[in-house]
Amino acid sequence: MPSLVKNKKIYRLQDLFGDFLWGRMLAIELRDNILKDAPEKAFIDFDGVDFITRAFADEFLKVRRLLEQKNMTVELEHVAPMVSSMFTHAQTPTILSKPGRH
Amino acid sequence: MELHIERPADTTPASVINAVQLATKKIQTLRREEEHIIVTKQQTDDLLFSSLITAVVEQKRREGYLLTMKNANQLSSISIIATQKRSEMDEVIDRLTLVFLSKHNAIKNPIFYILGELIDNVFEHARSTFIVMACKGNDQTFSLTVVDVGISIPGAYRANAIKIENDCQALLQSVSGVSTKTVEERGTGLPSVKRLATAAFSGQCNILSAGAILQATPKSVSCQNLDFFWQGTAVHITGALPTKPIDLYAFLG
Repeated sequence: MPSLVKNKKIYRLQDLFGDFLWGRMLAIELRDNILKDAPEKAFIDFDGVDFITRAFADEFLKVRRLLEQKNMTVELEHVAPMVSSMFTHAQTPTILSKPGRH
Repeated sequence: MELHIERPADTTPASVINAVQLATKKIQTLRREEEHIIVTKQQTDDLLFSSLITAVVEQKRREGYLLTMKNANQLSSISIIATQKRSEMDEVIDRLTLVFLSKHNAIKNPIFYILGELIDNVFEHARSTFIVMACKGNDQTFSLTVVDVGISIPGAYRANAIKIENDCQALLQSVSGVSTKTVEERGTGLPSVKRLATAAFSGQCNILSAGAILQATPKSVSCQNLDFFWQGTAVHITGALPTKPIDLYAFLG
């Protein structure tokens, strides 16, 4: 469970989801937890997280933007270089070609 | 009763598909109310074959058939993961890390990247009820297979109203970056997997989905429409273990 520090909360991802974070649903679950708690400041602790998939990274960045739009401060802690690189990769526009549509 | 199935003559995709086709026909003849043990005549070391047969048998089990497997399931690296149970996936990742990747740290991140993309694909597109995942390796080579029984790659394109002429075209599009999604950020999953397999690991990437199979090597990409239909997608990667750590992001789009 996240630790409560006045109006701040720490979300330890390893405790919540494990050390390999995949899929969008984990980021969405995190978003829902934070929205329910509604802290002014959310510390998201990546300590112990070995790897995140691109889908998780992409969704997480959307969640972060959404929370910041709601005037919450979001801080990331203990982000491993591999995880940080995946966030950078997820942010890079990478479409290779446009799909044909009916 | 025992049902004996033949292993493929060799590990080429054509042989594997032929053997899976014959085995599937035999399994389809089984009666629901009788117990059967599926026995592969020799223990196969082909992960694609073993994984596909495991998926066929698991599918039948979920339809209420009383089936167990001998031989193929003795390959301890094969895992069946229910997609509604996240904890099962975590256990498999932990086991894979402990058994295989701890010995091969140089490939941990690219293998995790490949697995991550394939798992994300299953959860985001495939609508599969389970995944069969298998991995094995030695000091020189490794192979990795992820099989689902979902809507397939051509099915995902059609479900998103993206025009495709045939299943082969869908597979070729999927590795060239035409996403089944509409948002601009997407479209690099399978191309990155293919690039890592063929460039970083100097290996092969085979994708069987619906009625086609795509084969990518370091030198070429080819696709064949089949007279066999796999309801879902199987991705099979083989590669050489590098002597130096791989810079994952140098190979990504």
